[in-house]
Amino acid sequence: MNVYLFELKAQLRGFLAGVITLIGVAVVFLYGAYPIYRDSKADVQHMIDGFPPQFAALFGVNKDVFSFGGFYRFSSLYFMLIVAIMACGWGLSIFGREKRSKAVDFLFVMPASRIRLYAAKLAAGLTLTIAAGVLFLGTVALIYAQFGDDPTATSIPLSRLLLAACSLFGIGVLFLSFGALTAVLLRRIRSVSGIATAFGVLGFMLVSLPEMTGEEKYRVISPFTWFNVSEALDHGSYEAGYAGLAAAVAVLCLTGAAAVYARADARGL
Amino acid sequence: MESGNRGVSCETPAILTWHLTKRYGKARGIEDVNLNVHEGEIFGFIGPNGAGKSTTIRTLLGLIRRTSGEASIFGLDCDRDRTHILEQVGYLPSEVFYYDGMRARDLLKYAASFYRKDCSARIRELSAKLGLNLDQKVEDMSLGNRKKVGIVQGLMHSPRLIILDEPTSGLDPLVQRAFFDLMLEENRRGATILFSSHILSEVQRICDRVAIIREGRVVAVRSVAEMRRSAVKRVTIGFAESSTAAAAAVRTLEAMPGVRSLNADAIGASASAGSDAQSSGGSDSGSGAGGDRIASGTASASFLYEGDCNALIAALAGLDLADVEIAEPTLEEVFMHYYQPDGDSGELCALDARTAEAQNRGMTENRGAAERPAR
Repeated sequence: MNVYLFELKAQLRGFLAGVITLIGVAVVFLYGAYPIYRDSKADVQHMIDGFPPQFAALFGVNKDVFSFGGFYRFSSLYFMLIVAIMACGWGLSIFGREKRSKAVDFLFVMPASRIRLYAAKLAAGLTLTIAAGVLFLGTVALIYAQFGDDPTATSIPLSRLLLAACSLFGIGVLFLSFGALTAVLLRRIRSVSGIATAFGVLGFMLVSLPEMTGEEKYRVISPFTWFNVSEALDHGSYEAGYAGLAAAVAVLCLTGAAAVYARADARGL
Repeated sequence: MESGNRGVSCETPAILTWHLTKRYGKARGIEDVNLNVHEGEIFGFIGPNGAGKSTTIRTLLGLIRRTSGEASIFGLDCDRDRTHILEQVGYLPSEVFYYDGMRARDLLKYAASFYRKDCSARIRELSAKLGLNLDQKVEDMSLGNRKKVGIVQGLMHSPRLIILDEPTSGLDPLVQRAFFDLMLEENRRGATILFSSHILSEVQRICDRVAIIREGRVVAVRSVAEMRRSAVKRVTIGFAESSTAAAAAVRTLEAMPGVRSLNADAIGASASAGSDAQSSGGSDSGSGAGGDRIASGTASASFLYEGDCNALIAALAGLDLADVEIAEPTLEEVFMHYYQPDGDSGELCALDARTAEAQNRGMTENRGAAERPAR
């Protein structure tokens, strides 16, 4: 419990910075930009019609964009990007804290098994990820309520919108696990934000790979697409295969990280 | 300074290692380290930098995993029972690092939260003894003050075993003194202390027995009393007047028992006395080259001396000297003195081999007496 609380406290500033960014972007996009977008429906429709389909797909733009859910579909990639960077950063920070401050000896001579320490750190990371997700869902629901009396906006029900927003939990846990594994594998962590941004941007760029090539198989290496927001919005579910893949990868990363954390030599300074 | 609790228990050893080996890939770590530290003693662990002291300690603490061999603390296996062991162990590393942005008070509180006892009174008491300001941020502290935080952290849970890895580096003489007093106090309380250092004098100051480690291997375990009896001194003498006086002095010293590694600077070729170089005759063969410098008053000789100090003083009194210095030899000189490589094989000398053998015998006996950690 002490390690869990310590990590939560130590990560509080990073958590607030991440969550404020996420919610800020959500408010700007969903509350600020959406009404403008909706009101210029005719103009935007005209513009999108002029795009080559692949080009439109690159930006995640399709013709459902005028509903609130549709607009969320368009924005979701950016939310995913923020959550990916944020969660990966938490993973790196929490599991690399001792390495960065050279306090590995301090923690590892405490009478606690390394697995217990790992579990406490993981619990702290998951708590932050879930808390960020819940706050985001609450924000989305509140903004949705602002457009409750607009049939164009509410053509996709709130339940499906929230289900689509739940993709951020998946992305969060997945990138937390990437961060955790990276932190335990790297001998020295020079820049948490640099590595986290690299992971996030790579995930973001890989989204366009299956879309631009039209090859479905590339989704396997594109984590953002494992949580298919369109499926959630249109059919109220995620694709079981890809959701399973995401879960398997996360579990694999976290198990691998736990094994390394528990077994590896704490190198001298 | 007197050593503390000298009551050595015949029960389970505080630390027992058996052929403990750690290799870093192909690089050497430690090889076949056999240690048997009795409960209640202050055990010194001495060797030059990179000899394997820290590796041994880190293996004992479970910070790194042994490649082979066995290691136990209070009869508990250092890998399997790590958590139970660490409840009873206090560790002070050579370099103390903590999390950034934390005050000493918060850091020690966090450390204390891992132990199933209230350490707050002990933290206050130790901090007062060491003059440590608990409200200062650790990152703003000097090296010495950070070390004080380390000392408090290592002792706050009143451990049964205290492991110190070069603990005095960064401490000023006053704090060093307070630190040694604290250690002796802990020892009187019943704590066993493993004290690693590369400074012979500080190990001799408080330890009961000393293990000497070199190039990853324990080459000898000796009692400090025994070391004191055979205390080696580095003697340096200067000659002011004539080359004949210097040459005569060197001949006298060469013939004197207990003199080794005699180097006669500026007399000529270095003359080595002792069993390994009795025949060098350096003073005669090199007198030509060194003679001018002797005449100009710069000749000096130095040697290691082991034996009765009165005999040494008497011998020196008979010489015409301009200067004399009797100092503690460096650790390397001690090694060279005790552990001259054997001429044929390069192995350590017979004394070393005898000591290691005796130690191994002791280990075997102790392993029989003590409950061997169950696999």
